Amino acid sequence: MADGPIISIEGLEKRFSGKNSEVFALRGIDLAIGRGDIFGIIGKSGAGKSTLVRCINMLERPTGGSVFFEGRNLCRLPEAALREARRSMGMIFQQFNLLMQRTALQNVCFPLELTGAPKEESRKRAEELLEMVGLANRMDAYPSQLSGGQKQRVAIARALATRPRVLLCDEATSALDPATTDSILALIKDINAQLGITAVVITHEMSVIEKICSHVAIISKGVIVEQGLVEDVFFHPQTEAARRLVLPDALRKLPQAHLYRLIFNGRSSFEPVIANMVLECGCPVNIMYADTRDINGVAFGQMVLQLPEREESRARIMAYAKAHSIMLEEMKHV
Amino acid sequence: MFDQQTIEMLLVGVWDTLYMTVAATFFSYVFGMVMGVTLVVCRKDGIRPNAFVYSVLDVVVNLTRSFPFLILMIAVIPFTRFLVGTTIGNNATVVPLVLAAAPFVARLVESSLLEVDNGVVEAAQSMGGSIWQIIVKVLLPEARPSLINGSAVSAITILGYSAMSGAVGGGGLGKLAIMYGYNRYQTDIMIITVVLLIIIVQAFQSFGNWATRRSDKRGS
Repeated sequence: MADGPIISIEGLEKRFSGKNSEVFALRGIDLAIGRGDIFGIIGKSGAGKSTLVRCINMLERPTGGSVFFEGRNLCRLPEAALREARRSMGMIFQQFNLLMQRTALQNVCFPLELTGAPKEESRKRAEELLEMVGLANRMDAYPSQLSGGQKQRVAIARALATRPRVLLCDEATSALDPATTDSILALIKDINAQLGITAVVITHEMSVIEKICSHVAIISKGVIVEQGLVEDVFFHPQTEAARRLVLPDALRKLPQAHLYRLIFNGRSSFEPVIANMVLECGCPVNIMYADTRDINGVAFGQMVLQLPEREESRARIMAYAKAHSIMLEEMKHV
Repeated sequence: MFDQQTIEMLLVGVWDTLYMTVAATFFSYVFGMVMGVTLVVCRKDGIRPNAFVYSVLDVVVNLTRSFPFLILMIAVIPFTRFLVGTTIGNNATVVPLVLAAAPFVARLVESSLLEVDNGVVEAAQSMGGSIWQIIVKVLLPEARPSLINGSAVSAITILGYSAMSGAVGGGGLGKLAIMYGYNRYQTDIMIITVVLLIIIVQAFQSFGNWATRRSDKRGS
């Protein structure tokens, strides 16, 4: 059991029935989330990602399929056992959802109060947690006196109070500015590394996935279209939805002929790859797009090149790339 | 301007009015709070939806609220006699006051609780909170400022009802205004009772505002 996935979702389905119509918010979802992973679920708004994460702790009742948490099917648990299971899964939200009439400290004590833990003990634990998230000096502040980033830190401390084994993050950084987002992501990553808590991160931003996630699932129109290690999805996006996340939309407006995607990893970044290739092959390439990304702390670069019309030249370049183990792939239908 | 006797009568009137208002407000909240919480919990997107309980309670509240207070007061006379043994005086007036005000309070409590951000309720659910815990530890405390504000509104409404009750056996300032001011054309008594009522209303509202502000931790 210890080696199996901590959360596994099988054939999950969520249907919303209206008066005359039925809408599938989720369909045929299969996911296995390993213990200690930071598992990202990315999709556009309305893709069903929030519904999916809310099905994991049964805030939303699935209409089909199962959700196993540490081997137990949450869909079948009676009310009291489900409440117990929920205490092993902390959750943070886009809008923080703090109790506005309680101080930061009282907010962190709240989940412990629900379990009936002794007051003194709860207070001590809450103080430790607030210290851990860097709010030792704001314990008696009310949420209205805190910034967005501070509120999310309180929410994280609160989610951790009952020593959960999973942290569900529902668009946890979407209401924050970029710098604050980075600090919250770093905190989530820290918590994952230090406490070994599995994190499920829901987001619509690829940068969030790249920064902290080990695994990613791409959800589109209620279906998981692609999943795997973040690097794999980044290097070899298989589906339209994945390509869109990896490459900017503006690329669609470029001429489509002979476009190739070149990927540098940390190693090859130090060599003048393009220059060498052009010199060696004796034919020019047109650089259409380039960027670098930080995937789990390793810098990766990607470039979109337009190779020459002549088939012969293209073959030469491909051969060069292969010989120097440069990842160069033709892009079909951007 | 008034003799000793009149002043005493007015003081007793003030006391009676306050007594009826405070007692009726208290009992209205005992019942209204339960009804309001039930409405919120059982509504369609509540924490324990129950269409049957919701619609029954909803109809009962609307029905009771559409009764004109004077009619209601007369209609429940047998019930009042059964409960307190008499149909006149302060205690007897409290019965119809509570019956009339509890549904009103239920609506106020309902709307106060609906102001609580649903996300906070969800957060509590995600932490494994039970329905009772969510009511007692989330809904009511988070709605506290709005509930306090509502209770000032309720008390003032009940005060108004209690004055009306003077027409059919209730006591207090309303009785004085009707008996002396209306039936005996003593305009000065009428004016002074009205002024006293205005002062009491103002005091309730100011106290309510102050307590609301004091209890609300959201503002800066």
